[in-house]
Amino acid sequence: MDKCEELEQQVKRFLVDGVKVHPMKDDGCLLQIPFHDADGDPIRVVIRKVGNSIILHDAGVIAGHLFTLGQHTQDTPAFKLLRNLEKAYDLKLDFDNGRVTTTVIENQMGDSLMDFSKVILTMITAIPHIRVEPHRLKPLGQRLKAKIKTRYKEANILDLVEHDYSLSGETVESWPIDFHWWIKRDGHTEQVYVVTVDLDVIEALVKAAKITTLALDAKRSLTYDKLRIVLDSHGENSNASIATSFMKTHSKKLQYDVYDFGQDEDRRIFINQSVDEITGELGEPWRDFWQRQHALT
Amino acid sequence: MFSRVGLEGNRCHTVYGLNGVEILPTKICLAYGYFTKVLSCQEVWHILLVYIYHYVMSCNVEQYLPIDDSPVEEVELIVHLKMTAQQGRRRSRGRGHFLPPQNVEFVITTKEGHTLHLTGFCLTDLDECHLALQQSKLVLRKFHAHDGHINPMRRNHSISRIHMHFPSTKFSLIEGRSSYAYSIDEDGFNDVADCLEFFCAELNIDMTGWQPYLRPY
Repeated sequence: MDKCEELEQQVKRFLVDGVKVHPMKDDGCLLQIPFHDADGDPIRVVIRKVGNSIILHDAGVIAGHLFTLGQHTQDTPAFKLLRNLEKAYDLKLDFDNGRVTTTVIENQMGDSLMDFSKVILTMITAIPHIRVEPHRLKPLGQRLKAKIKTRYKEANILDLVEHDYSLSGETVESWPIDFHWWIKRDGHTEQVYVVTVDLDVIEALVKAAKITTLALDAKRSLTYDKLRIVLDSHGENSNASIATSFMKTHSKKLQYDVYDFGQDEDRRIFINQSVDEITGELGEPWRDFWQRQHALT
Repeated sequence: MFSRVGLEGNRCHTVYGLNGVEILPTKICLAYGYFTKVLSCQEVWHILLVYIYHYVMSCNVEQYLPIDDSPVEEVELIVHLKMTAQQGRRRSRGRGHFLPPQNVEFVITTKEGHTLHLTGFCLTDLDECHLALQQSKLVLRKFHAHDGHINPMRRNHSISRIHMHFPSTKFSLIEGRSSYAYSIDEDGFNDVADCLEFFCAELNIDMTGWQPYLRPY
């Protein structure tokens, strides 16, 4: 037996010995793969047969790692990585049970299992090294952003806007911007920044104060650039109306536009404006630029 | 000064004179139980008196490390302080929050003013429990109830189902390739509340007033 054959035998033995399968209480099997996480604990996959398909899930390990390191919300880098893997590997995030799952056909079990193990390994290895920036400013309108995304999708412009952009400030390092694009008008580039803010949940006044500070501090051309604040003031929160009034009162002074997404007229104007700018003649250079960017990434 | 007074099974309780650490009645009872098995009555009283005048700290992790590794001093200083828990806000079920089953989160304040985070969850399918105590990026302790942990280079093996991870100068918690753990007596845990109770007793964390969440898991 030459050196390579000997090595092959050793590696095979190590890999085979590292695989263990335990029966579970509810007919499923728990597969332990020959890899360990950063604590030295084994990585496992739950396998369950349902009819002609097989369901694989992680039992909540990925959600547990995200939660422990404070990256269980949509705006965090580790969660975004999980979202990318969800698309790439056709996974499903089960928010009710905190599990990452995938359904596979029986004759593709081998490949699917290797892919699923790869996802778990990637997440568990990467999460501790993808840290959230300290003192980051959290987005102010996650729910409203989801609503706008739905509208943009209906109008076929969702892939033509830049999501999660950031704008540097005079004093604050980076301000979160939910949507961004630019248009060319009379030889000038006009940047469009959209910031969403939910006022139907807690801290309406604090959010309004943050928005006005953003408008004051963010570095932008007051002549050409457009800052659009989209707010949602649905609900019974009495502070929401004060916060709305606060933002509207200071809008001229600080040069931004306010749209109340709860009002039909404002919502229509905001969406139509976005669609016209992006799909119209003024937005042609942006579309070219953005589609090239997309092709590259 | 005492360095160690009792050892039963895999679990130890060590007595040190560390200023600023208060005594919890449960700890005294626990220690008394250990003493009676290994020492005479006179010795027990003597030790108990010393115990009352001095202070209690949980397991000294140095004994589980090989000679070429050592505990992280900064971590050990914090872990052995008296701590108080208050429920945190990380677990709020906002839309798009991807949360593990039976998750809990507490903000822990030490007597010297450090702010720590205690997070935990149970993997109900696997009957497993995971808790982590951390200060920002630094993970101080991790309590796990699951099979199959392997210590770095298989040292101090084997580790029982219920074990406590700790960082050493060579093997940090979370970011490294592995970490050391010491075994804890198997008592069995039903849910995250049981694990929390044990973890807090082990690390001298006062969580008076906390009640398990009422929502179904």
